[in-house]
Amino acid sequence: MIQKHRRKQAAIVAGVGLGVAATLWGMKRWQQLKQTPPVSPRSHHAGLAGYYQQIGDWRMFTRVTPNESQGLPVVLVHGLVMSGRAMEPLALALSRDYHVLVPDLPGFGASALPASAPVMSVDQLADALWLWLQHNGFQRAIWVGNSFGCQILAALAVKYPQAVAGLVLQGPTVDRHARSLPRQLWRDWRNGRLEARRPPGPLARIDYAKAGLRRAFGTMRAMMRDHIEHRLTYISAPTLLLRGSRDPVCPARWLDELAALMPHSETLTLRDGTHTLHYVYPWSFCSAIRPFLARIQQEDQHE
Amino acid sequence: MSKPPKGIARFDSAAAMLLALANALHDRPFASPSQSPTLDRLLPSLNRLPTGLREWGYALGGMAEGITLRQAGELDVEGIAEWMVSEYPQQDYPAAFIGSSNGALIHLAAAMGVPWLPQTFLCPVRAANNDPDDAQASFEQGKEIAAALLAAWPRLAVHHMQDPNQDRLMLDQMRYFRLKLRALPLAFNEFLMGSLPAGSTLFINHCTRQWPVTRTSDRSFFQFGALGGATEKEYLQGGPRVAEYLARYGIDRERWTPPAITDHVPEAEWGLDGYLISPLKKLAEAQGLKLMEIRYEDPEAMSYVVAEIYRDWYLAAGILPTRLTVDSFLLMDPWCSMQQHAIPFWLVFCTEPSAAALQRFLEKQPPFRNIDMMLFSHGTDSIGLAEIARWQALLAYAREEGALIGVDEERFPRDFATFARFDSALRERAPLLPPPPPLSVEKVITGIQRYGAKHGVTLTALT
Repeated sequence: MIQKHRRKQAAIVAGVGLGVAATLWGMKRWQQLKQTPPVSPRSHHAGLAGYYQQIGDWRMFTRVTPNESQGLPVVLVHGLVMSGRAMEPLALALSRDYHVLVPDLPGFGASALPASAPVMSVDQLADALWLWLQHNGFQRAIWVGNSFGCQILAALAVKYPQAVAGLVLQGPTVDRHARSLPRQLWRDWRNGRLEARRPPGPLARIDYAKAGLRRAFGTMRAMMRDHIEHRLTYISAPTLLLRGSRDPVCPARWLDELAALMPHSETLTLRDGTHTLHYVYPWSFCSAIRPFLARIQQEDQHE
Repeated sequence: MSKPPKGIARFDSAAAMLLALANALHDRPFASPSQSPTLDRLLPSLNRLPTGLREWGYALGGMAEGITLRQAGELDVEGIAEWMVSEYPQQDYPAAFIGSSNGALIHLAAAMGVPWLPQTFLCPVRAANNDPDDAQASFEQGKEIAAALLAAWPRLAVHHMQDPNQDRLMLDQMRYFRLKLRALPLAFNEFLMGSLPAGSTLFINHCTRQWPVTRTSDRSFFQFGALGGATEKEYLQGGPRVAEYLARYGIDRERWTPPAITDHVPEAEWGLDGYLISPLKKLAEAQGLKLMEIRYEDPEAMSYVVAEIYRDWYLAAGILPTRLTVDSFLLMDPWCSMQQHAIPFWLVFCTEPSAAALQRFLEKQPPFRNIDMMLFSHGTDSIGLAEIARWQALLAYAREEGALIGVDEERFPRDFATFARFDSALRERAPLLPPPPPLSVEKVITGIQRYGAKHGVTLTALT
């Protein structure tokens, strides 16, 4: 009887010990992920540089391509809880023709904020982008957003139309017919299955560690509350709406609805593309939007 | 190397050649076409079984590769293309090949250190209790599967292939569909754009070999017979060799009776479907690539040309090549051939026409000191099969030693353990030395121009 009791105790102690060890290991790993340099070594070798700036209350990090060509800069805005890291392949593909800037939104990636800082709304993030643009000495830019980034760009284009020469919205969220976290997470999981051979998951882990779970969930809530369809009607800048044909997060019907709201928009479907198009298929993304970018650049020169 | 997704057969030209080349580009041998250490361990035991059981085991192994009708309708072509490109190292290349499968071309690409993307792959679909000799029934029953595959990806051409001569064992429980990509999957597009800087060369490997077929739609065909030991006429009209073969297998027929021929289209396994050329031209123009087309009819024509290019490549590096490695269908290891400073000569199959091709080559070459030869086993005493004695006679062309590599001569053509054995056996044949520096694109272009004309291989610039 006593032996049985002892065995039970030993099992509990071993279980607790294992649990503590796993937690410690997890915390250590989490800390390591937080320390990941903001620009991946591969992109760094390809010429992508980065710098920090104090912008208002935030310290923001920006990646920039070596091409200092004249004309409008192209700014890439990342999606939910991700960072500009995921935009690096697209930035490099676009850098053959354009000067590309990739900021990390405040609170994400290398523009990390302390956990005590408040979670920013879509409008506040748009304000931050506007300030960031001015700090970098540009009046206007062509903006390319993915997923949640599209919501921020829509807010920016409505609030500061003078800053937006053109907009590319790829896989805009949140489909109003599936406006709930479980449904969005389910769609995201289905998308992950399609991207299994080139998964953006490892990048997402780094960015979640950097942003922190509190900010991640807070921003998800902000994303759900924001209605992109209520903003698009007021956008006057020429806009390209783009989706991959297999993207479960942004269905074709949703994109058509958005296009109907915008008089100056055009839509494009990239055959067989998925939701994280900018990361999984950057070259195809680049060649799909190149004619649109070239047209905006040309129109800007005439002005 | 990751496991291929469902819907692409590993024991086939496209998948195996892709893996052989990818391994060479990763600087390692092509040790296992099966990609499965368990299967590699099982194969030698399978070889010890009596003939009937061995054939049954072979067919069972093939069946494991097959998919169901339902899976055919959900075939993930994009996922298969993703797998293909993910096998190669991610880096910039000075050139790339795309198009027809060809063993000699794999050696050429390996010497250059550049990738090749296949247009065609084999998708076996399970279908219980078939009669491999009943062409009419296969034709009718295959239509449903072909329709499912056509719907799975709208830019696919589906070639239903029925070859009771050479695929007899597999056809009992499966139907063969060779799928040709008529447009570039997004993964191919991405790979080519991302890894070929402006000014690089994209070679289209265009085998013009055709085969008489019964067309069932704009994108689907039924091909009876295949390139190998028997002739087109024998498949379609019969002959003494066909009657004898059928009698040998106890089949109550004089000849096969395939459905009426309505068209001639690119051969299912080796031919190139020309629809792919137009998207490649667009890609080359947009990316500033040089687009060139290598064109030939007989797949083995490339073997002569590549052997000559290899010889020049070795000589330029101060190496006197005295060793010949003869590949058989998918049994090849370009990494090993280069490391042994051997000239490769690839044969389509273990049949008499291939043996004759090798003989023509050997007769015109200065004698090799060593000849190493692999032999593919397909499990059937098929029409036109070249027996062991015939191959041994060819090995006698070697000045010092000619040897069959990893082949169990008594069990051929049912020597299934050769898949697991050939590569380690080949590596033991000679010391592995560093190969010459990678073959340049210019050398390849001048090589094909110089040696191609004699063997019916042409090179044309398309941009």
